[in-house]
Amino acid sequence: MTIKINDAICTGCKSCEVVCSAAHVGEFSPERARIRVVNQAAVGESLISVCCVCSEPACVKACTYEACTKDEIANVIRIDYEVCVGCYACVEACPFHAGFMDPVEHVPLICDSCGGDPVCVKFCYKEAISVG
Amino acid sequence: MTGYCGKMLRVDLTTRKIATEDLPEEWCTRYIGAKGIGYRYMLQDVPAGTDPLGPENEIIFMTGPFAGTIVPTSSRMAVVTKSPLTGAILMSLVGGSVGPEFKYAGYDGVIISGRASAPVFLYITNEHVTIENARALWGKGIFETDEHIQSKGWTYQAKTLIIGPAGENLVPFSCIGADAYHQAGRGGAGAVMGSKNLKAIAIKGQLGVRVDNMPEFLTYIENIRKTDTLSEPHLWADTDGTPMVVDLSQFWGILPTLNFTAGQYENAGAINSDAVKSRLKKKRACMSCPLGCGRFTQALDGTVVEGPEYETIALAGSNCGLGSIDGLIRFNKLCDDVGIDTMSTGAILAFAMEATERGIFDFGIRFGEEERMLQYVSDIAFRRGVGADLALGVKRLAAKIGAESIALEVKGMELPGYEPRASFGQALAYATSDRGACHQRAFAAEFDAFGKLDPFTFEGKAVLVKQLQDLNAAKDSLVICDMWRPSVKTVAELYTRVTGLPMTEEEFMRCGERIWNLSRLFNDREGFRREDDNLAPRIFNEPLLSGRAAGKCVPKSAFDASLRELYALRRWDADGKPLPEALEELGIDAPLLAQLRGDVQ
Repeated sequence: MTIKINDAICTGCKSCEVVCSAAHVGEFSPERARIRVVNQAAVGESLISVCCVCSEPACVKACTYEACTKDEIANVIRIDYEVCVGCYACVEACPFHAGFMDPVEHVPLICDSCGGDPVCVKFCYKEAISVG
Repeated sequence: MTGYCGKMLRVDLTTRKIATEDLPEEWCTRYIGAKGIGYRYMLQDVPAGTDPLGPENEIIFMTGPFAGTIVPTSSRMAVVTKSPLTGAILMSLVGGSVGPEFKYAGYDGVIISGRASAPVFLYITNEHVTIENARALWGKGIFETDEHIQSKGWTYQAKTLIIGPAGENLVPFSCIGADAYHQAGRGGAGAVMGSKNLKAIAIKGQLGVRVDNMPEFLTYIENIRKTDTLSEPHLWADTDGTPMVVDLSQFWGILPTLNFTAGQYENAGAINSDAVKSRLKKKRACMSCPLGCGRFTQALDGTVVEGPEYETIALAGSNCGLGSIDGLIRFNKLCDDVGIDTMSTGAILAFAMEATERGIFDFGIRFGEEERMLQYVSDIAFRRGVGADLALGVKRLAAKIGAESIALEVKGMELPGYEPRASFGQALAYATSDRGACHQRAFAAEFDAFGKLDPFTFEGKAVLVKQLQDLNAAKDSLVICDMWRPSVKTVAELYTRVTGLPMTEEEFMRCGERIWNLSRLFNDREGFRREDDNLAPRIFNEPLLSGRAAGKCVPKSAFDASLRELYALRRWDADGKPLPEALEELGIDAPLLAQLRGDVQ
């Protein structure tokens, strides 16, 4: 499965960020979320950034420690935090700006699709984020 | 105690002292949060008779326990201060994402006092709080200031609270822009920031808000969102937003028209929800809100604004005889940029229009003059020419030119968008609202003009208004938005789940009544009496011209009787002063009771 996004119907409520952090770190803390919504109020737009799992992921290529890999079966990017040194090469390499930095643990944050049942999708009432 | 951060930030701009203090847990259980705790701080910190624009006045940005969580519609935050427009207590709620950001930075609220020697802005990132130079921002509009803050690397993507030129020039109905597109609109909180030389607050938080048993909490909220928030009675917020009310108000003859002379407007069809939809760019929600009542609209000339909301449409549209949706979008955007309340601005313009047309005083503006309206918005913000007079607000300007008979205000705050002669319940609610004429403290019109009760009697209205005031005082302390009407049972349960503190339906309503009494105590201290719980002369004396309530006035004697009934229900004396034994019984905290006794001695 992959997560699909549709910016055109996103209302910018950031529920996805709020619940993503809650599900992964046990508290509501959007800065630690693996999905982001940037509200560009001046033009009335909201842009969603989340990993949609490229066929040839730049993040995997950028990782010189082999901590960042693609799980072809689950179709998800995995980071082995035991190996990761927190250099953020993967975050910087992503052409879609879909990787983030955890301000607390100082490690990269990339969507793990919640093991196939993404919590953000459950809370996106507009279905701007969906599973396809 | 979860949900709360348990910590307050205190900033004295005179001495540049920045400190944190614990949020008393007793206040959390007794006054809940945002509105209630904000009021409690005001009673503790601000002495009677304080000049609203003096350094002793405080401006408090206070969240509730729900802010930052995924509880639906919980992103709102209260701005509490003493109002320069009314001299009474002021609580203005604002949505967007600023409230949650305070929590993510680790604070339940920020209390600001004093006055900086030169323009500054406050920058908060978790425990790092700095007072920054804002000389370069002074004089700039809210949108430009926000853009400036967003464009700097170190403040990139910070959430902002900003005032415009109107706030800097101490216009008593200037607002605070939150994320530039939401406003703490009413009562002049912008001028209080301006008086402190505080141009803006920028916040970036990286901490978290905790609740117990997160996985179960998420499932619980997911269920509430589906079965309650997103159920039929609330879906209008998603499909139409507040502009939907225009057609309803027009139908029931409660739409303020031409400075509250009529209840229906001939061009209402040009400014209703369909008109807003014709300019719709995108729907917009506040943080964590599944309803998303906000609308980005774009006028034909390209102007983009979030709005116009019903109140703006009613007061600057029908009330000013402006039947143009593009005109309203332009008006809305300009007000948001210079930082004045669209409602009070619409009201003062309508007042000026009527004064001019009747030959009472020539302000050089007549009903429906769009370009002149836009010009006057800027003139008010910069206090230029006629604008200097209009910037006084309706009450002071009417006193100055001797036009009280056409002034529509209560306690100095201009009437909102529901005609009180078409809803006697709303009339009583306006008269007794803590911050002056306000529809949100008790939206009684929903039950009489729009509902099943007879709108033209005061029978049963005192009970209704009290109940609504208490409920909303508690809801505004959580905070839960007006757009969501969960049952008291649901709210009490939510409170316990988020905070881990006990709460029952009965106690929740008691909290509301307690909080409502706090505002009364503050206003009583400021000299507000029975005669200030009043309505404008026009409402009592002049029959409405059109609509369902055509030919009707609010009968003074019945109004007075209803007011006495409300006081009795609240256990206040004949002058509207809370009785000490009632306060004790309500559970007002002991230090405050002692303070009140001290005041008496």
